[in-house]
Amino acid sequence: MNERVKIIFSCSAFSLAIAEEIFAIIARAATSNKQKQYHIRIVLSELFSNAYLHGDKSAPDSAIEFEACFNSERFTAKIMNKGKRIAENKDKRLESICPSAESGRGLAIVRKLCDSVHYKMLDDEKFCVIIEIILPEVNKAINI
Amino acid sequence: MEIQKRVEGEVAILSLEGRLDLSSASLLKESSKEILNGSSKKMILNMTKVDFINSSGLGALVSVLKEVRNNRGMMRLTNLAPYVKEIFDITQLSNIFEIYSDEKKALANF
Repeated sequence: MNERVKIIFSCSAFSLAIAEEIFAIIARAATSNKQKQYHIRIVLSELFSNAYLHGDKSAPDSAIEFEACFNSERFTAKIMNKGKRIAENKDKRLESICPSAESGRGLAIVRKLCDSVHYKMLDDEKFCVIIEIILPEVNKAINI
Repeated sequence: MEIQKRVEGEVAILSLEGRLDLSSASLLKESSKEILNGSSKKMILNMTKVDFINSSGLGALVSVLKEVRNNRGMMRLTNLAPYVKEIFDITQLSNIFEIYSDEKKALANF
């Protein structure tokens, strides 16, 4: 059975804080595997931070749209926002990032922890990132 | 995030608690600046109670490490939870930070 979550956040620092709490709850609901829970939290956190930092905050309808869908086998998520098409350019390999760099690791971590990552520019000028994480075989959703 | 500070000899120990991310990165940078502006140039960050770190948190730690080195100081990390340590490993930051299993070992080698 698929579980689905869809949330629209305003592009604000407050949304950033509450999104982190929501992502922790979603990760616990998606899998009982602690390591995968942590991976899901980090991936969603990085994608949301990226959308927040590079999103067009000046637009009156500025928002970050989040969707997640999971079952016992896989976790998928989609994050969309209006903003600069910057994410792909920043998607470097971890090996190519200078160890002393203070930024630039976010999307590389996403790439490392996800089984697939896709970027899309939608017709209505929204930028969209879709990720998939394969869950471990012994994966029972737990009460949250 | 909450940060508790204490001093052992000439070493300042900062115990971090909570999430180390975009919203808490500046607090860590400010706290470490206060330490470096004082008499202590040796610092331990005890991360026992850090339950989550992302790239913004890692960036803050790199920034603090640079600041410590610019002040001719030393910085060590201790008590990383396994999931936090995994992120250090995959980002290869385990190679630039001095990481110890506990405060006692970190203090012994200063």
